[in-house]
Amino acid sequence: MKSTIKFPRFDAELDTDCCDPYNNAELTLTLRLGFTQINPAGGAAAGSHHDYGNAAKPTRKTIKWTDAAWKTWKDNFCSTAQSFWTGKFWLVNDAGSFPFVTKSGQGYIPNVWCRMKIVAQDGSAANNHHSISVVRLDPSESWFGSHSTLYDSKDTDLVQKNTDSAGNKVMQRAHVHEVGHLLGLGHVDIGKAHCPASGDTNASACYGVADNDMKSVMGSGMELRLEHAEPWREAIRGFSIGEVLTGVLAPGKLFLPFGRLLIGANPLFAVWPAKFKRHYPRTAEEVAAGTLITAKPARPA
Amino acid sequence: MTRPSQRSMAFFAAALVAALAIWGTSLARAEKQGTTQNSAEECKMDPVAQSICVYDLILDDIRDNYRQRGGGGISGIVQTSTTGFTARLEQEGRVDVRSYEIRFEADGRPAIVSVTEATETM
Ligand SMILES: [Zn+2]
Repeated sequence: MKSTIKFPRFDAELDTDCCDPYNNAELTLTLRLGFTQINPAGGAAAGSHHDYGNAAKPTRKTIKWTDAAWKTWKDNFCSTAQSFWTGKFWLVNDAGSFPFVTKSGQGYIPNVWCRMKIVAQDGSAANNHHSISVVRLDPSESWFGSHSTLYDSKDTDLVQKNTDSAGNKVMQRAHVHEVGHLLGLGHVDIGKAHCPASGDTNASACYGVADNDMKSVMGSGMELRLEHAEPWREAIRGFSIGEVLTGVLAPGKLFLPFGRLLIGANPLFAVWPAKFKRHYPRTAEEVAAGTLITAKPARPA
Repeated sequence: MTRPSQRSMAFFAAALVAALAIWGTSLARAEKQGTTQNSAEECKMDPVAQSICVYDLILDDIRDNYRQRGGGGISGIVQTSTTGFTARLEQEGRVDVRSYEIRFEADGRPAIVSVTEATETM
């Protein structure tokens, strides 16, 4: 079965048709991004644009987008950001949700593989989750002041953002960090004393003070952390609790919906811990025992 | 081997003096770059010299203590009061603002009393 929940930031689709003794359910978050060109004024081939689109800030030289450059830039943005974020996490199903039975009669509880898809659309499309305007920098320019809805053509480049305690450069491709924000993730050090959640969470200290934090993709670097699975965890809780509500309304449709509540694997309190490694589907007994299966198990056909 | 003429000897000596002078100047500049304080003499000369000392001090602080070395760099340093200055550094989505409180020593030299970091989200 494939079902979709529309969240404000993305659509979430859960596919359980792919489940078998070895393959988990797949949860795909789809971001529809509406891109709009910003070109030099008056149809000119070259012009300038202020950092952050703010007339009080410095200008940078810009050039007109061509159809080919626009397509190449969007394709590169989407494919590289998508490949950074998709398929990196598995959520361990401690809720006992989405059980299925094979032809041989063996029941399994799948885990969830976290996938992500970026769809580039025209900026004027009505169903965009996010709208982004993009300036094309003149080749002589190395930097432009972007913000969450105004990007530049070089925001996909890998550039230095910070310096660790050993003096090493900490590098980042800005667009993968921005896509993290579009998924709902905040900066790495939010909640720490130097970056209180009640303050400006865009302050430079929020991008990570300790080396390890600085290197997070939601800091100044390119490393994923398990907490970055939060958008998928939030989405799967929606499906899991929805499944229970369906079970309450039509108990005959589900495999053991109430038995799950009795064995303690309660979707309402499930944590759905995130892992960087594939975890194989489990039997109800394996779930109850808390067994994690990371090597391909022998299963009856 | 012919003996060099008096005239070419004099030219050689002058060139040597000039080279030594240039070397001496660049050595002094290199020494200055290695310190965070200008000399008292320089800083008490006149108001412009003194403010050059203040800006040098701020630039030294940014050089030594500001680690977010990407972005657009320093877009401005502005005086906000007799002893107050702010430096602005452009970054993606934000401008980092470093505010300095300066004290002037009896010999005219400025010293940083405090640095406050803030951010303006763009
Ligand atoms: Zn950010």
